Amino acid sequence: MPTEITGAIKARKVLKEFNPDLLKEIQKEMRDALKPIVAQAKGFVPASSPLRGWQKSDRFWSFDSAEMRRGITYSIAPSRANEQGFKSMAQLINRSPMGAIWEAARKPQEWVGPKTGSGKTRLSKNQSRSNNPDAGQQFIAGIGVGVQSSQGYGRGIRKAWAKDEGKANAAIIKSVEKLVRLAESKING
Amino acid sequence: MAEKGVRIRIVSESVGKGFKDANKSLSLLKKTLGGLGIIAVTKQVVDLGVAAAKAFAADEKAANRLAMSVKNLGLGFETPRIERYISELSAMSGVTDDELRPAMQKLLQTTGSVTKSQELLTQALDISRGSGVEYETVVNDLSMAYTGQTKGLSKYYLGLTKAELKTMSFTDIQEKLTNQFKGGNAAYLDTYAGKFELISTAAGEAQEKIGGALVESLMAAFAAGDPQEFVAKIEGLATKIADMVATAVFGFKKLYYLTSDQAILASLNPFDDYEKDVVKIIDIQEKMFMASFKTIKMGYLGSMPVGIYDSPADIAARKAAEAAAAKRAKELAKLTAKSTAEAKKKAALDKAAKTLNLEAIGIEAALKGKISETDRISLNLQKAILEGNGTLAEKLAKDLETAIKNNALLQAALLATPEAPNPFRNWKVPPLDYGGNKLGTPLPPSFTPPSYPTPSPNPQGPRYTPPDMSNVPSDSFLQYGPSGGLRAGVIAGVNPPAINIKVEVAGEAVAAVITQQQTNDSLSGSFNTVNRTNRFAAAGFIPA
Repeated sequence: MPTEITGAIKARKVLKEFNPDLLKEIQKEMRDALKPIVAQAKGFVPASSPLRGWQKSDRFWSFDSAEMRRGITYSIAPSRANEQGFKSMAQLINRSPMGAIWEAARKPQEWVGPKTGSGKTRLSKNQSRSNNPDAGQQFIAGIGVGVQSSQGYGRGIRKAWAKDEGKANAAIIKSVEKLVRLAESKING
Repeated sequence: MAEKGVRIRIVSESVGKGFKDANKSLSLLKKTLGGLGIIAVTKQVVDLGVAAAKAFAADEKAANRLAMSVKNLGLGFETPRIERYISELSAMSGVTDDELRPAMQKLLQTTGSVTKSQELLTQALDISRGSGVEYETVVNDLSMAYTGQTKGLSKYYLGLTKAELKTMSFTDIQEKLTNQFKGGNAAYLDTYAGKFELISTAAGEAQEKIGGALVESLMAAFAAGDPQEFVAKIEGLATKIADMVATAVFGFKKLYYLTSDQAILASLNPFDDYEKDVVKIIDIQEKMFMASFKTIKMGYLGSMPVGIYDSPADIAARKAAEAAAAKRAKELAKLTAKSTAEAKKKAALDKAAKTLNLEAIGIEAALKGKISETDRISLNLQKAILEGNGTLAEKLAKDLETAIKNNALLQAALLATPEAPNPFRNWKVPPLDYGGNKLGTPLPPSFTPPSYPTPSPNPQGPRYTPPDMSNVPSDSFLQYGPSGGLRAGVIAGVNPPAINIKVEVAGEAVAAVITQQQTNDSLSGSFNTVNRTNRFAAAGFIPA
């Protein structure tokens, strides 16, 4: 669960308006905390496809190491609110589709076989219609073992996050708290 | 639109969107349930849950802080034992665990020993109750005293001076405190205030488990009883209610699934065992939860440790930690003794320096000056006293006494002596005159000062005889006059007459000196190689 801080977005706006240099300073601190994790996560991306059938092709989900590395990044701009109504002050992102697959694949989909239906008659998107009933399991076994982090199971950013042992998290919280404090002092004179 | 990719959200802030949606659903639910009268009951349950959750959160926070501190001291395995001890002490003494935990933390950090900390924690209770000083202050003072800083102990009126406190070992101080305040806590708990505090603390602890509202009703039911028994009853009831809450929650879950659309559809289908499966699964979940809740494990749930057993490794580690702490205590005691001895030595030296340096130097300086005999004896006596020379001091004291007596006698004799007459009282001053006029009288206008004749040369006296210059050459004194000065017409340094000096030297000797000089000039070369190119060559040859 991400740490919740109240008033951070408003504080950011205040600081942006009245003391943009200070905001830049704080953003630099946040960047410095996140950059090592991004660099480490990029290092976890395999140089070539671990599976023969997943090699680079025209398909959007095909394995492209460079694209996957490019997709691993961070953001220190407030995000859009998620379904629960939370906005994030900082995020680590694995943006590319193949990167997301490689990052989070853990449980194989339910196998229903190729003849179960397709198009409109398809039962669910979360079902495997491969000829091989063990395709999902073999895919997951092939791409390597991930790490269980506080943010979930993963091989890229989540693994790097786990390895960081909360240092970046603490640094970001500290920076955001500083931001709130500075804005409060600005408002209260 | 959902955001792409996998994301790790680091710091988030609620902007209310989700809650607004949730609130809409909730108000709809309220309308539905309000009619059924369920809301009032639910509110009570929720309030109870909130109070309990708050108390639990605060308690857990304090417990975690202590656990972290203990872990950092390398005594992580002792956490359950410490928690159990704090819980027991809290129930026994009426001091809340919120007070006991920071106190325990301080003592652990100071002593490094769990046993010693527990001992001091208990003793601090007696001292606090006995002296009326706050528990936290007592613990602080004990921690400081353990490391030799006894300043804070003066407030307990132990009948010891600051110097005595400084020189005492911690064990002695502890003994003194024990003797003075032993049984303070028990005596306090006998009073109504003590009993009330005991009940309040027990109630507070129970509130952490099951919530304030429930505790209030329990207290109303059992307030008349014995406090200790009441605490025991509260403990038992809290545990039972906790079990009931778990059963109720899982019961609600069953109800939720069994009233779902799927369950209703399944009930119409004789081949669908959905309901049975749901009940089975929830039963398993409940069993697992209860097992994990009551399982014997290292650690603690909130402030209460559950099923703690020491492994041989823990026992060994505890022994090692206790040994290390004992060693440290010994070292501290040694250091205290050493510093006390040094302080004593320093104090003695300071005293000696003050007395000897100033007094002895003063005496020596005074003895060197011009002083009376009495003063000399007095100074010598002081010196003898400073040096600790008793025999000499006694002798000098007698001498001084005698001298003072003699002085007094002399003074008395002097005072008794009649005034001496003026020895010149009968002497007449002869009248002096100056040329016939008496001294002190004005001169008459016709007065002529007397004249005195100058003495004439004595023809019989010694006369100067000029020296005989007959043998001196005639030109020897051309520049000098007959009286020895320069002659007339001669100016010193301008026109003195020339003096001719004739030196006669043998010609061979002069030739030999010149030849030798020329030979030396013709020599050339380095210090170790001397070459002569020819006898009188002007330039020499210097080899490479």
